[in-house]
Amino acid sequence: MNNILNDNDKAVIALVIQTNITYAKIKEIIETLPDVSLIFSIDKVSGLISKNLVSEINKIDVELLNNYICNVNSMGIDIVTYLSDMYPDNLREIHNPPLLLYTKGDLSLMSGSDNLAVVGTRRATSYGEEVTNVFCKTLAKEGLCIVSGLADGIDTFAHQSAVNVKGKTIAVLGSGINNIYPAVNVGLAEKIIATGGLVISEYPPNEGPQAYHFPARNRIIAGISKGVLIIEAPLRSGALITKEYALDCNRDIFVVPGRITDIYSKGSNEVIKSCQGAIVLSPEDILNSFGKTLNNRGKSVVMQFTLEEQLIIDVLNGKEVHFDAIITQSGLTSAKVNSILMKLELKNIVKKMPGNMYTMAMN
Amino acid sequence: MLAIIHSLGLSGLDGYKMQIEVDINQGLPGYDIVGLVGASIKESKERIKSAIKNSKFQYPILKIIVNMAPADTKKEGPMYDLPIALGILCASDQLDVNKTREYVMLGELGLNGSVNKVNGILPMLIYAKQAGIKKFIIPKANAKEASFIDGMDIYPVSTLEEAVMFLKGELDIPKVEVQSFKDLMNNTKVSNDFKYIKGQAKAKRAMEIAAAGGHNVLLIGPPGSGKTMMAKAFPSILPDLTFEEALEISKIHSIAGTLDSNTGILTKRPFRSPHHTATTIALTGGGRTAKPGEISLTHNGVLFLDEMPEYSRNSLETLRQPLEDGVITVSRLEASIVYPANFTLIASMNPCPCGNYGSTTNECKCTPQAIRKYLNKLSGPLMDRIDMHIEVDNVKYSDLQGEANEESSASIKARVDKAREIQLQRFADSDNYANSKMNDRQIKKYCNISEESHFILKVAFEKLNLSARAYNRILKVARTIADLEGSKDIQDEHIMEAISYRSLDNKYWS
Repeated sequence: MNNILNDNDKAVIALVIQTNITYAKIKEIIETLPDVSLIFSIDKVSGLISKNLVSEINKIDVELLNNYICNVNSMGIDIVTYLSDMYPDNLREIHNPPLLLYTKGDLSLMSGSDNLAVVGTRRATSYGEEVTNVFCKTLAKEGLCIVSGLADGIDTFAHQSAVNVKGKTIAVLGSGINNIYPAVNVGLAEKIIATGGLVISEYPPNEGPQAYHFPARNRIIAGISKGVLIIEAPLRSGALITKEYALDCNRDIFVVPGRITDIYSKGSNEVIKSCQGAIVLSPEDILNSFGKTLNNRGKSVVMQFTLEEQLIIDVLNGKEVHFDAIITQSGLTSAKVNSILMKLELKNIVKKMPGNMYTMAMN
Repeated sequence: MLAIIHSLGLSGLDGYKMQIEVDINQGLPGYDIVGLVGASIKESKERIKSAIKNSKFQYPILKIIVNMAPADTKKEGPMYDLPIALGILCASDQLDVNKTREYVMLGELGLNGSVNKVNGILPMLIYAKQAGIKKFIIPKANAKEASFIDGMDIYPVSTLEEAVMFLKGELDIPKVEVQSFKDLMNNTKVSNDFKYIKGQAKAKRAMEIAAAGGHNVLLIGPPGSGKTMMAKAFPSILPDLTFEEALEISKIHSIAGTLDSNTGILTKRPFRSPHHTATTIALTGGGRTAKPGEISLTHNGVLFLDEMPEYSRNSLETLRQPLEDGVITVSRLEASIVYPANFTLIASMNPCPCGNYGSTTNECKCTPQAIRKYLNKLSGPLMDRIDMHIEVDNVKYSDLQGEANEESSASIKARVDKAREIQLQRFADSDNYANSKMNDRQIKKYCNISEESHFILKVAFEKLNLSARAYNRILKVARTIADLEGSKDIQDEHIMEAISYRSLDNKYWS
């Protein structure tokens, strides 16, 4: 266990779990009482807080509380309270910071200074997938910690590429840690923890996913990050909600531009248009604003191509070309074109897009 | 007096000899039939009575007993009307029983005495030839399908009266003339031709490979992209049926009653597309008498499943065993029959329920869960049995209008035939005839690849996240690609191309 709870922490947990006191009131109690653990001896606080709160506080059962904490800890889950030293200072800056965080993995990542949130649509296009992979791979290698929401689409690609290069990544859930949503990402969550990452949720471990949880967890994503990178967001999108939170707490916003005709880039392009975020064209742009420079530059290898390969590369140069057009423009047979494209694809030179379109891969 | 008439029965695809014994005794007039007969045989009583009367013969007003031996085998079908009627005529001394002795008779009777078409003549004749039976009387409407069996005297009759006069020697009926299968083949025309399909070079190439090696294909693409058109043109490039193959498949169609009486034999590889509401039994075969299903009717041909995820999961999973073994065993109360089911599967599907998944211009309205659910209807083991996955994309309007010269089916077929020829030689001493049906031992023997190809495969497996089961499929497809080029060994580029037909695994089923 990384986090040892003191009496104040336990008091916060008791207030959240065992009473029906509202978020605002709990926060008020925490801020007015000299010592929150006073609530465990009710006579001492009766003069300090209002009567109906006292009756709520009377509900607190220390034995049950200890059992609960013990139980949660036995699942390998830490509880970090608002009062804890482990609670990230960045997160205190946001509106409505969560009072409790359930975490699994390396706690210290939350307070890291190099956290970058990567957000975007759940229905990523192949463009979004590629951009996310290239950015997150490079940035995770450079030591940035990728923060995202473990949802489908961009979130999944972001976590996945960080894990693939053994980089650090934090997943902020909209459900309890034992109830990962979507269920296909259970394996990914395990991998994140195994590679030294972290999974966070403000909800108790067994809580199910609720629609309103997801916009709410976006404030944590923005809160624990230094910057937010938006890759592909449609006009109505969770990514844009995260952007709003990020603006509120003064985080850097980076946007990867998309085509103006793409539905899934409309929202992100809109952010650029309204000057709310900085355009980034390469992972280096983000590194620079984090005060870093690219170290692990990929070895530049001089590629040798056969004549036919070069022919196809020339056809593709800078555009998306349909398979049929490649045949007519290169004059090769469809069998040849097929096998050469596959070869170039395996070498990461060419990328296949939906609808039998081919283009040069990003490097 | 007792009369014994020879006939044949069918159990599955195999025939057996049968005797129809008719005895007429004094007593209360009546008609009894024994020997485990089905309803259609029991009903024959009334048909026979009217047919005899209307053919100007005497129906004996005596006690008639008919026994169909062997008595322990279930018998079904109206094909025994004619032999029973002749048996009654013999037993009542209107016909000399000795004249019927060397003939085997089959036929259904109409009330007016006409002899009508029956199902299953072809497999019975094939059995009869093996059993050394020489002379046959069959309905005229079945003459065509009988005309492909040589070495037998087959006499077609159209009425009961004709049959009796022929047996008495009063009428001369010409034997069915043996037809050459080759002549028929030359007359077959294809309706869908690849030259009418614009663009889609990648999919066409894949279809060519599939036809050459008998590989199963999955076409994925948005609605209206031409998946069905592609599949319907597929039979036009398939290699010609050999006579043995044609007989095999015609036998099944003869039993099912779907054989065209104008040709009498299948001259084209069957192409069947059962609707997605088809039940599991409709696909596999079944029913009380274990009838052949769609997959057996497409033996040596193409089974096209349009909108594959719409089929019930159950039906799809039952295809797994036939796809592997090429046969299906249909076990029912009255019969347990092994039907051949060696078909090429062509399946088509949308990438998601609304069809726009992956498109950059049309918004996909499906939730990620809905897409997963849709794709998951095709289980991993089933997908593994489909060698090639092809993406078919929307055709642009300009392409539809274009005057570009597309290759015709005939010229594609020429290449396919050549490749199939190589395969037939390769597998001459096994019962296999196409690369797709190679077993592990044959793969080891015929799919040797170089050190470098192994390396390519290794990289591809890691990059494309392929399952181990995809490995053999890739080798088989690569073998076919090499055959199409006339190459003895599998080259790197053949492996490359084969891998490209598995690259959707990663995209959709990761």
